[in-house]
Amino acid sequence: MKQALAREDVFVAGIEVAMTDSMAYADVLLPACTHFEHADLYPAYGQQYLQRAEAIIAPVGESLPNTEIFRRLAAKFGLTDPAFRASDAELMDAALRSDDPRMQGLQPSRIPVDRAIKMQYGGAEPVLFDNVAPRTPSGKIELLSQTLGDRYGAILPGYRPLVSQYPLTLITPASDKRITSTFGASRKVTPRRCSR
Amino acid sequence: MIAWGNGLERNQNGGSGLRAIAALPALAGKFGVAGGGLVGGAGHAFPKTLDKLTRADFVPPQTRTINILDVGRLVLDDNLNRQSRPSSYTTTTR
Repeated sequence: MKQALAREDVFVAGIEVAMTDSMAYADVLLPACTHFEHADLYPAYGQQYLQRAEAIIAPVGESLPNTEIFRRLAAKFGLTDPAFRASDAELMDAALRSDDPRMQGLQPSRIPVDRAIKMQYGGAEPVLFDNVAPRTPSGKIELLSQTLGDRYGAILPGYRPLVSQYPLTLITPASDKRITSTFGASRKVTPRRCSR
Repeated sequence: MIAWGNGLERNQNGGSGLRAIAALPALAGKFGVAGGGLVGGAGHAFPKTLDKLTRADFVPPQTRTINILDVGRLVLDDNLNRQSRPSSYTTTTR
């Protein structure tokens, strides 16, 4: 990856909230603001509450929300479809179906910031085999999957040994100092830093 | 209760690993049981309209898409632009 990014004939445009080892290779680096600096919807990774948040502070320095960066790039590139001019509120309202019963009649861009909307199915919590079913062709759990067999040759879970010319495998384990890698390059959270 | 988090799928055999993990509560009869089962991604719990956000209709047909894991190797491949068919790990979603 390092060699690829370092190629003279490869143009690298980066959008990041913090300087990283990868961004050091960018020909153009566009500063994105953090999620504290723009409004957003928060459908969760591991639970079923939907929330909306407003920016807590204005974007710092020259940073911008990703959406604004894309709108400005689109204008520069001469992309004229209205989608490229959609405001953040319009994007929120396009991102979720407000007429879905799970939204309880709320428009996504107007969800009160002090409410967490629990996603329900027919007014009840989704429970597997109670009110929701696997989206397999059979509607059942498929330990043996003909679909995956046809598509990937993997009817059952398998194991392909890793073939490598190197004796070691590079891994990037999570740090107990932080919950994301965003500020991993900061000496405050990663005192000892590997050099390029 | 099993929570498999994120990341396992980004390794070789990761998909098989996830299938094997998901089989455990199935074999033990723990799906749909209070306190049992599997916490995976909740992405499908929300009425998302990914087609409206990703606008796949803007992507010209036959656009080459490559697997993020292969970016480094493929960018270094001087024959990338002349490849007539996708490499074995290339994902073509449309």
